[in-house]
Amino acid sequence: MSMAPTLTGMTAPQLALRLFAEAGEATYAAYVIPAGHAADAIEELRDELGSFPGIAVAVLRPASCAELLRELAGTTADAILIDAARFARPEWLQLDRRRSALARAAVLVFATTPDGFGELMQAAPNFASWIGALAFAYEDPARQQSELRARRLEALRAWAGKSDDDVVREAREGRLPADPEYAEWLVLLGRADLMDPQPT
Amino acid sequence: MKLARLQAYTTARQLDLPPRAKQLHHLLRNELLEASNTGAIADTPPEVFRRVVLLSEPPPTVLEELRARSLHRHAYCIIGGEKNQDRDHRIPHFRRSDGAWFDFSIVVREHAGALELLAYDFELRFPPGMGVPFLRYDLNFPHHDNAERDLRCHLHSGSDDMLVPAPLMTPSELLAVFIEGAQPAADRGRRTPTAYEARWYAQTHALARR
Repeated sequence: MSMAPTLTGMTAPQLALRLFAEAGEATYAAYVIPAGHAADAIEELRDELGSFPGIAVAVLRPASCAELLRELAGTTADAILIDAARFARPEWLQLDRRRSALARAAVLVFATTPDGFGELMQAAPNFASWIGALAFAYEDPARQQSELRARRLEALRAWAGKSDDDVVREAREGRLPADPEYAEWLVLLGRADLMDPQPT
Repeated sequence: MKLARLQAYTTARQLDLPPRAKQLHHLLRNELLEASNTGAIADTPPEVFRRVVLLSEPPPTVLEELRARSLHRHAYCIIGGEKNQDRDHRIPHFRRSDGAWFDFSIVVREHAGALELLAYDFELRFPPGMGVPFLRYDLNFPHHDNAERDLRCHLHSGSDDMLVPAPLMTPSELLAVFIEGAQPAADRGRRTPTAYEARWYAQTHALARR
């Protein structure tokens, strides 16, 4: 098993902003994603990059280096996300030899697994130098979101002097004030249904 | 009754919103990014990205919630800046170049291919001498109670206790009001408060100290 170096973690929105700053330049990056999560993470990054005005995004899922180079030849997007999860050592070796065929004024992101990134570093040292510092580990936004949700719920409880149970009970009884803070509170609890009129 | 008619008129306005919460989140983030790039707000692009967050409802945990959620799904909060009920300047927020600062929170629901705006609060706080301490535009969530319904969409003009009817606006329009609109008039110098206002501020301050 190859060992990848420790990389800076980035969520898809953070990476998208970082890459947007490079738009229009020849930029090569690696996004190291835990095995089995590549498809979701790539979709997330595609969404985030595509949210910037004037950025066309393409996703390629080649099985081999030869297929990648064929597909790249017909792609004019500003940002190209390459699912390289299926690349093994022979693909990286070939990519290193044919790296000049990658050159273009676009952002190329190679999404790979930790093991795949280790292979890349060993088998494609010249291409790895193109990537340089633009190698990041996928960070799941769920943890940050969960912390933020907890902080906001705590602030709402302190503001109103009520518990979550109080708010749910008052909403069920039609006694919950209609202030926007309570709407947010119900959504954060997963009870947005209680904003609708309750059966009596 | 007249107030009810006014609210019905303002809240019936058809808003131009994207169909998905994620799209509205991206739209607002891009508008703040643009404001950052032009210097209208002092926050950097990474700060904008950190502060504008889309939060979905957590997965249901009990059977009752599961049943309820099968009928009512896809509600989201879009938040801009941390919750700040005490108006603590140390809590992360957006900063206008003239020292005014703001945060916001929006509640939406995706329903039948469209986005329904359920509630919002947008609060802009001013430095001393800029007329009022803060402005807050609120949209309360739909309520069965008449009194609540008649002031569903309102403005707090410098006081949490004072509500005046306000037009329903899209989140983009509210951001435009906060970033470009709510400014002292450029062609007027700072006006000296009248004796009435000076006395009012002094008496209000005395009330607060009791």
